[in-house]
Amino acid sequence: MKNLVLVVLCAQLFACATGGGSAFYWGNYSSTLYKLKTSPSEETTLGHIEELEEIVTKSAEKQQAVPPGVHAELGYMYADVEQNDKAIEHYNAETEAYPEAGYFVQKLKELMGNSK
Amino acid sequence: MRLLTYTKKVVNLLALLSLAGCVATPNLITKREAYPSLYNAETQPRSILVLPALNESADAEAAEYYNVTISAPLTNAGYYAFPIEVVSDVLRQEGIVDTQSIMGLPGSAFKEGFGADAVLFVNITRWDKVYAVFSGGVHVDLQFRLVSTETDEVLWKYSVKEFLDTSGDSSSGALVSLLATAISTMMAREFQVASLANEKAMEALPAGVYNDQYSLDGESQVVDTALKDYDLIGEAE
Repeated sequence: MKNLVLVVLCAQLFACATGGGSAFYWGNYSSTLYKLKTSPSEETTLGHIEELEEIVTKSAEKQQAVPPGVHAELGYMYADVEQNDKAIEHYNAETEAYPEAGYFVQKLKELMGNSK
Repeated sequence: MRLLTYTKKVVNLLALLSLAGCVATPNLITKREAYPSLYNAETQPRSILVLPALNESADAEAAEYYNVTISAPLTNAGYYAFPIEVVSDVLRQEGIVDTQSIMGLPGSAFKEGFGADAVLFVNITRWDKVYAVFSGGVHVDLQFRLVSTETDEVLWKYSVKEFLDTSGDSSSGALVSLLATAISTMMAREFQVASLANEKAMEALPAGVYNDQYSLDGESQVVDTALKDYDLIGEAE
């Protein structure tokens, strides 16, 4: 039993270094989102859209699921720059991949309708 | 018998090492014992709404740095995470801007607005940049509270302390901190320390449905003291 604990703890020590094998691909999400938040402009908006698109592309290349929320955020960003067709497309992709987002995505669609 | 005592000592030492910041010898308990509701199909959340962090640190920008770093570790832990900046935008449109007032809301308030199964409240209690010519780093202390939107039950709580030593960076000294490159390096360091703190906390969170350890990690151990150490956010009143 003690040995088991030891093994678990050793594994825990190295866990940070290795990372999970099934991890989602998040690219430079933190960095582009931070830039958008702290200095909002057309440039930083497009920069973050580009990064989100890159996450979608790279995830497909790696044959991984797109991380939760990425399609929803893309939809929201496209709605913000008034590309509603693309917004709807991404909102639908979010609920298709993650049915638990359905309620939230519906709200976002309503918000898009209201702002027009 | 002697071997057993020795092994026990090593175990304790390793536990201390693996969870830097604990002062007392930690009591280890299993995740299932610590967080039974997260192993019950009825109460286990699929989706978690992370609210914008409450910043109680001395650094005014800590929340901006922190908020953009939580989605990756939380989704990798296996949960559906709502996109945090979209969430804060929606809250803003509803007139909710003050993170302090958000902290006072019950979990159930977010069921109707977002359809989330649980809400994660994050409290930044420390975010200190230590500048020095030969040594320096960033201290980050975080407190987490995961609350059911169905029952308002606290499903998980945890606190972490993280220190990232940046003294090895050529740009960490105060003398060069005015340079633009040093600023962007510092930005990368802030993301790094936030990510480290988040990852440490997520290791104590039972895996969600999108992680291959889902429902299998009940016997892995967490430090009991971390649960007791903190009793601050939201429960003061």
